[in-house]
Parts: sequence; C-alpha cells; structure tokens
Amino acid sequence: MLRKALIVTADRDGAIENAAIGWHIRLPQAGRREWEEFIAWLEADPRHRAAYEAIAEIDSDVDAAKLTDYAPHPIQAANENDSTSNRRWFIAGALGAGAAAALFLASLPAIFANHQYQVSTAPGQQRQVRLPDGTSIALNGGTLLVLDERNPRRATLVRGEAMFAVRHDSNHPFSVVVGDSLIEDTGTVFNVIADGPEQVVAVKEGGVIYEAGGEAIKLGPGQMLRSSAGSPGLLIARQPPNAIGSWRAGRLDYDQATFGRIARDLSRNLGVPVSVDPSIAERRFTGTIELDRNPARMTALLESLLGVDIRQHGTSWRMLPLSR
Amino acid sequence: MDRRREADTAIAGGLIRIFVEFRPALTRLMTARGAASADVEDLLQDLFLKIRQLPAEPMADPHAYLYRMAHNLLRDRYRVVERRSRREALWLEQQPPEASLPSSEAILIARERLKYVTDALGRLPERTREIFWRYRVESEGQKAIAINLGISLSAVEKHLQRAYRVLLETKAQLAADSAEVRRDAPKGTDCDG
Repeated sequence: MLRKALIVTADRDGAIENAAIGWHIRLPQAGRREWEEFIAWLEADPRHRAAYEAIAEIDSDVDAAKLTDYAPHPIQAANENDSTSNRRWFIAGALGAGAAAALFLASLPAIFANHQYQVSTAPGQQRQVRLPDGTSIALNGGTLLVLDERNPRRATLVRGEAMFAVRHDSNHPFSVVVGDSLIEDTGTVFNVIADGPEQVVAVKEGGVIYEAGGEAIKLGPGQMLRSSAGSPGLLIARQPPNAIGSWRAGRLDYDQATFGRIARDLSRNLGVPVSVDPSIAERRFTGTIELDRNPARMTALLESLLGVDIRQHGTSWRMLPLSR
Repeated sequence: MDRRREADTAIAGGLIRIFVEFRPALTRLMTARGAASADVEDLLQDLFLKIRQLPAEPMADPHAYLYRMAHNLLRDRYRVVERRSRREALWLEQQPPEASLPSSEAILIARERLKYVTDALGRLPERTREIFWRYRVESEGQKAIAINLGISLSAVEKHLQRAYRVLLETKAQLAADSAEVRRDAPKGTDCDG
C-alpha cells in the first residue's frame, strides 16, 4: 500500500488532491448530474484518478486501523490521566521470540470524543453492563465495547463477543457497529462476535437488520450470519436459539463445527490462546462443551470429547492429532 | 422512456430496465476509476443480481442510486483483496511462537498504517477529529452529524476535508521517510522495499 503512496507523493498536486477529497466527501449525497461530473473529472487527467484512489485507500487504512488487535495476553493501559498526551496506547506483550510487540489501538474513541466511554474485559473475564434505556449487554472475555453517553442506543463492538438484550423502542432502533457493518434492531436478544476479520451475528429472539457493503439482511430467531474478510459471500445458517449465547451459561453448543472454529471460541471463552494443528483443523464436532476454568479438567474433557491430544506451549494450548 | 417517471420513481422492474439501458454509463464510471474490463463485467453482474432482489419501492434519482451501488461494489472488491493479506497477518499472529512467523513485510505494513492513522488523527483539532470519527468509524451520515452537532452541512464537509488532507500528508510523509531509510540502508541488510 505504501508503495503506491510513494508514486502519489512524487507527483503531489495540492489542487488535484483537494478536488479528489471534495469529490469523495460529496459522492454519498451526489445526484445523477454530479456523478457524471465526477466521471468527467476522473477522465480529464490520469492524475485525477490516481489522486482519488489515494483517498479511497485512506478509508481502507482507517478501517484496517480500527481492526488491528494482536494481543492474546493481558494488556496494560498507559497512564490514563496523562493530559499532555493526546494518545493512549495499549501495548501488547510480545508474542514470542522474533515476533514484534504490536500496538493496539484501544481507546481512540475515548480520547477523541469525551462523551464516549469504553467497557472492556480481560481475556477469560465476563462482565455485564446495563444501559440507561434498560438494554443489557453481556461481554465475554477479551472484549472491547465503546458506548456513548449522548447516544444510549448505539454501541461499537471493537473486538470480542457480546450478547445484547435490547429494550424495545421502534422509534429509536438500537444499533451495533462492528467494523464496516451496522446491526440494527428494535427489541431483540442477539449475540455478536468481532474476531479480527470475522464477524458473527446470531439472533436469539426478535430480529435484526445487518447492514454492510450496501446490503441489508434481515435475521430472525435461530438465524446466524457469518462474514469473513477474504471470502466475498456471507454465510447464513441456522442455530437453535438455545445455543445462541450459550457461553453465558458456561457451555458451547456445536453442530458440525470445525475444530478450527472451536479453537477460536475456546480462546475467547477461556482467555487462553488455543490453536489447532492444520491436519485436524477441518474435522467436525457436534455436541456440547461445558466450559471449565480448571485447566487440567478442561484439557481432559476436550481430549476425550474431540479425540485430540492437547499440548501446552507456555500459556497457550495446541490441539494435536492423537499419536498412535 | 417517460421522463417524468424516470425522474420521480422507479420500482424494481423499472430499475432493472433503467439498469440495462444504463450499463454503458456504469461501465464508464468503473473504467474511469481504473477497473479492468473483466472486473467491470463481473461487478455489473453482481449489481444486477442485487437489484433483482430489491423490494418494489419508489426511488428518487435511480441513476444516482445505480452509480452509488456500482461505486460501492468496486470499493468492496478492492477491500476483499486487501483484507486477505491483513487476515493472513492476523492468523499468523495467533499461532504459537514456534510456528512460522508472518512475513515481516505484512506486519510492517499493518503497523505503519496503524501508526500514520493515529498520528494524523492526533494532529487534528478535537472537533474535526470527532466529526471524522463519527463519519468513518461510526458510519453516521454527514447530514445526521450536522443536525446532531448543530452545524451546517458545509461545515461538516470542511472538517472532513481537513481530516483527509492531514491523513494524506501524514501518510506521504511516512512513505517518504521509509523510502529514505530503505535507500540509505547498508547493503546486505534485509530491507526488502
């Protein structure tokens, strides 16, 4: 991405850049004639097209920055009351020999708008929040949620998993922002997962409208949607309503789920990074896993239920095929 | 085509008719943006399928609507390609330490990008930052922002223009600095640019 920016840098023309920015900002409201003026502008000079692409890339970069999260380890905040610094960084622990520590952009919203605040959980920790309107939100481990004092009907799920029980108000739908998507509902119980490039929304009661990339999809009880960056389609599947948000009752219910998916869910629920050997990542499991905080009992249960060996590497677990 | 109907409303059947006639214009838009002709065909096909699924509804300015949808599809297609490399970087990060490490370039790009975005946003006045945040991160419309903040739409536009300018400048500066570092790096160093 930066290589392209280099080409633009060499040839930067302030007037062209400003024009490109102006177009980018006006397009969402543009009428037919303005669109056609935009096309004529693009065609008038190859630098116009390049300048506009550079702006479109900026949008991409901002979206990417929102999603960056490399921290499976407990994170520590920088000095919360440092008024001289405009930024707060959460610095993640190093992942291992050779891997660089990464910056996690956690509290950007909290800095930039004083009426916003965050609620977060450490890996493996659960927490519940009640909003002034009566909506309640249950957060699973490793979750970061940003709320807004001035707008109690909106939440942003930056990462993790949360179960929303929304108080009905058809005049003011409750919405959850996850990356580029908006989930809107009017009185519902639904579960949302934001896990790096993947988003999962499942409705337990009521209904939501999931909006992303210009599409809007209605989901009803027992329906689940999975959106994965890198695959163009959306997966819509059925999930029994009882299974949705079952993590709150300390269990994970599966119907033909892959071991890869189970490993990711376990990581989120146990607060321990769980990986799976590629040779068994696509194996499937149907059944219920009762979560246990005791590592010895949990690994024993997983080994017998899934037919795997679990090895510990430092604080992380790895699922391996049984050695015969 | 009856001009009054074209200007005022389009129901789904009518929208399909408009789409068919409007294909050359939509092709022109995507070509002007730099899309390859094979991609253009692909995207128009996707657009057609989406339009077919729309419920019948009156619509003002169906041509603008089609331009907007085509433009968004182009943007999303570009993002899918981008996300793939980001997703790979993320996936590799989650593996235990002794597994293969992500290519240093993937990590560097992700971190540089994070850094310049936060640097740039940090340079903005608070109000401008807030407006940009609402618009890009919270997906609030420009009109809604104007109403909620009690300012004019053109004031919102000016704030957004400023934000994008600063982002562009910060990014260009970082790219220039990186280029210098790579140029000046001693030979034999692994500094794949």
